[in-house]
Amino acid sequence: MSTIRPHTSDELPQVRAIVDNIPAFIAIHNESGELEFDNRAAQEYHGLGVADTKQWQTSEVVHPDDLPALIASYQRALTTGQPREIEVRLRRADGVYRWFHIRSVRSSDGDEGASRWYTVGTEIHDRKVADDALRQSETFLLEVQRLSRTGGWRYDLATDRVESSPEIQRAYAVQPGEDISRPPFWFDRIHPEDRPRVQAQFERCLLEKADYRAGYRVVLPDGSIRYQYATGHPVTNHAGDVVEFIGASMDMTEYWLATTERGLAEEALRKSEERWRAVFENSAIGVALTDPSGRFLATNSAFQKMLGYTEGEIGALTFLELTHEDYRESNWQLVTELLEGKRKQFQIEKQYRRKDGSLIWVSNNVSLVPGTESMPRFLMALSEDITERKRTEETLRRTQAELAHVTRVASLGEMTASIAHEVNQPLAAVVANGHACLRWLSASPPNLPRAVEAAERIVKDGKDAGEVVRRVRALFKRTGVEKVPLDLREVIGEVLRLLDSYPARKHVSLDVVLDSDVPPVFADRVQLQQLVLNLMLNAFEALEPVSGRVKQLSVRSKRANGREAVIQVCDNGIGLDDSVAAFEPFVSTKPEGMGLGLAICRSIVVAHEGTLSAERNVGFGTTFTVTLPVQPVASQ
Amino acid sequence: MTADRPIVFVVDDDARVRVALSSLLASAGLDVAVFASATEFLNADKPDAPACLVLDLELPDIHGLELQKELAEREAPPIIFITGHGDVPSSVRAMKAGAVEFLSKPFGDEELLHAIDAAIALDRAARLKRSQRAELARRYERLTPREREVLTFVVAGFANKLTADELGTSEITIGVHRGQIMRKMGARSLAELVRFADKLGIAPHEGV
Repeated sequence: MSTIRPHTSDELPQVRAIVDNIPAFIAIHNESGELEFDNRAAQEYHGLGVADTKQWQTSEVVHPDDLPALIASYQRALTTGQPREIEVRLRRADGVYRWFHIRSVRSSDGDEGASRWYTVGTEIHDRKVADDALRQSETFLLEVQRLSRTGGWRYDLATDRVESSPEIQRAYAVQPGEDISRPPFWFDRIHPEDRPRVQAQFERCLLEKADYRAGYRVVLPDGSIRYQYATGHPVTNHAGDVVEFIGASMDMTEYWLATTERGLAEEALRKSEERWRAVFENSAIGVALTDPSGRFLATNSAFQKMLGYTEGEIGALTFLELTHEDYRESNWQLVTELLEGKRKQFQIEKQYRRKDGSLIWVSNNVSLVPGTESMPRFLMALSEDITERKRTEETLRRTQAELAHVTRVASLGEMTASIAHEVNQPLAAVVANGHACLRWLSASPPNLPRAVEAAERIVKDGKDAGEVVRRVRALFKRTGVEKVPLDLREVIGEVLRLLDSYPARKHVSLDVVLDSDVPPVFADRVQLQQLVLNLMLNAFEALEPVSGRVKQLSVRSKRANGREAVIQVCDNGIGLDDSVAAFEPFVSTKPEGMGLGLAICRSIVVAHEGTLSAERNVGFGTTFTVTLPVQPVASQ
Repeated sequence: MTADRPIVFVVDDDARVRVALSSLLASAGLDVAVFASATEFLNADKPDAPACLVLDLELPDIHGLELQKELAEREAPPIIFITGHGDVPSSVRAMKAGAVEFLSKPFGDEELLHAIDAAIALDRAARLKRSQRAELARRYERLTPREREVLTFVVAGFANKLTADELGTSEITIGVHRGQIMRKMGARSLAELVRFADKLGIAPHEGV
C-alpha cells in the first residue's frame, strides 16, 4: 500500500483521481497546522485554491462561532497525538455555511520523520439541521406541557411499565426514590375516594380498547390536593391487540377551583382555614392543642415563644411535663373531669417551666373540642402569660401585709395603756411578794412557810407577766399568713384578755357570749385577732363621746346556717354615717383616725372568704357582723 | 379587835395583787382587809380603828376617783391610790382631792409602808379631833336656851352689864348664867371657852 504523497511528481494518477472524486473533503496538514493539501471536492466547495485555504485560521473559511472550538481541538490533538473529531460549519463558495463532520488522524511519513494530519470532512448539514429542529421541537413541547400543566404518559402492557413526562412527574410531586415506572405508584397518588372509580374505568378501557377519560383528585405527599384530568388512547398492533396506552394528564386545579361551585366552596374553606391558621399563628395569646393524653398536637408561635421551645421540641412533650410539679395533680384532675364530660371548660392559673429552667405564671383556659368522623377529639388551651400580673399581685399582697402591720402597730399605740396595765398588774404582785418574802425571812424568828408561799407567788405572777408580753408580741410581730383550724372562743378570748382593763377604764359595760357549738374556722390566728381587736377598739372609740346612757358593748360568736361562723360586735355609741364607705381606706369618723382599721378588717375577711357588714342599730350605735366559712367536718 | 390597832383596807380587782399586798402588810405587822370591788368595800362592816385605804384606781364597778369623791362625804380613812396606768391627770386629781399618795405599780414596800404610816397617823389625828368635838357637843347639849344665847355674847367679849342691857335682864342674872356656862362646858378660862365655841362653830354675837 503506497501512501499519498502530495505535490510530488511520482504520485499515482489513479490515487489522485480517487482522492479528488471522493464525495468528501480530504486534507493534509503539517505539524504546525498549515494546510499542505486538499482535494478537489474541498476546493470546489470553498471555491478557493490551497493558497487561500491555507489561512483557514484567520480567513472566514470556518464559521467564526465554531473557530475557537476548532483551534482548541487542533491544539489538543497536537499535544496528545490522539485522533480528533469535531463538527464545524464551513463556508461554501456562495458564502453559505454548512455543517461538516471532521475527523483527523496523525501519521509519520517514515524517512523524513515528520508527521502529518490526515483529515476527512463529511457534510452533515441536513442531518444536523433536522436534529436541531427536533431538539427545538422537544423543548417547545416540554414548554407547552409546562405552560398547559399537561403531562404525557405511556403505558406498555407487555412490560407493565409506565413512562412519564417531567411535567406529569411534577404534577404528581414525585419524590426521590419513588418507583414511578409501575402503575401502582400513579394509582396510589389518587384520592382514596376517587381511586376505585378511576382504576375500574382504566381497566374497562383496556378491555374495550376504548379511549380513556377520567377526572380525579390527587393527594400530594404534603397533604394538598390537586385536580387532574387524564385522557388516554389505546395503540393496537397489526393483530388488533392493544400493546400500549398513550395519554396526557392535565392539572385542572386552578381552573376547577376558579369555576366550579364545589371548587369555590373548597377554595373558600381553604381560605377560611388559612385565615384561622393565621389567627392561630399570629395570636398574641398562646394556643396549644393536645390529644387527650396531653401530648401536644399543635402550638402557635406565641406559645412556643412563651416556653422557649421550638415547635419540634414541644411536639415531643406533654403539657404535664411543662407544668410545675405543684400543679400537675390538680391540673390533671381538671382535664379528667373535662374528658369525662363533667365540665365544659376550666380555667387554671399555674406555673410552666420554660426550656431555660425559669418559671412563668400562666392563666389557661382549657376546653375539649369534640371529635368528628375524620378528626379525633382534642384539648385546646388558650394560655396567657400572667407572670407580670402575679408579680404585681405579690407586691400588692406584701404592701397590704405591711399596711396591716402598720395599723397593728398603730393600734399598739392606742393599747399601750392597756398593755402597761396588763404587765404592771402581775409585776406589782411580784414586787410586793418579793418584799413580803424578804420580810418573812428577816423576821425573828423567820416565818418560813409564809416566805415560801410568797416566793411561789413570785414565780407564778412572773410567768403571768411573761404570758402577757408573749400575747402582745404575737399580735404585733410580722408573720406570714398561716391558716389553721381555730376555735373562735380562744381567738376572741385572747383579744378580750388584751383589752381586759378597757371596760373599767372606759366605763363600758361589756357583754360577751361565745357559743360553744361553733366548729373551727380555717384562719390565720394573728389576722383573726387583729380583726376582732380592730372591731372592738372601733366600738370603744364610738362609745367614747357617749354620755347620758350606759355605754354598752357586746361581743358574740355563734354558728349560722350550719356552715358559717359569725362574730358580732355591737355597740350603742355614735353610729356610722355611711356603713358602706366605712370600709374604704382613709374614711374615718374619728378626727385622728387614719380610716384604715375597717379597710384592713375587710381585707382580712375577704382573704378568709368571709363577709363583713355594718348595720346601724335601731337605737344607737352599730353592729358589725363577720361571717366566716367553717371547716367541713370531714377534713378535721 | 382593840380600838387602837390600825387596819389597812385594800381594794383591788386583781386577786394576785390582793394576795401579795396582804402578805406584805402582814409581814409588816399590819392588819389587812381586802376587797375585790368598791361595792364590797362600801358594804362591809369595818372596825372602829385607825385605818387607811389602799385603792386601785381602775375598778370594775366604780372608778377610784368616783369612790374617793363619795367617801369624802363620810368619815372615811385616808386614801393611797395604786394604779397600773399611772397617768398624770388622774394622779393630779386624786392628790387634789386629798389622797395621801399615788403609787404606780409596781411599787416598793418602803414607799407603800411609809404612805400607810402617814395615812394612819392622819387618821388617828382625825379620829381624835372627831372625838373631842363630839365631847364638846355633848356638853353644849346640856346648856339651856338662855345659856346658849348668853354664850354668844360671852365669846363676843361683851361685858355682863352690856349683855344684861341687850337681853333686858339684870347684870347679876347674866353673871349666874356665865358661871353655869363655864361649869357645864368644863372651861377653865374665858379663853378656853372661846376656843371651844369656835370648835363647835358657834358664831359670836355681832354689834350692839
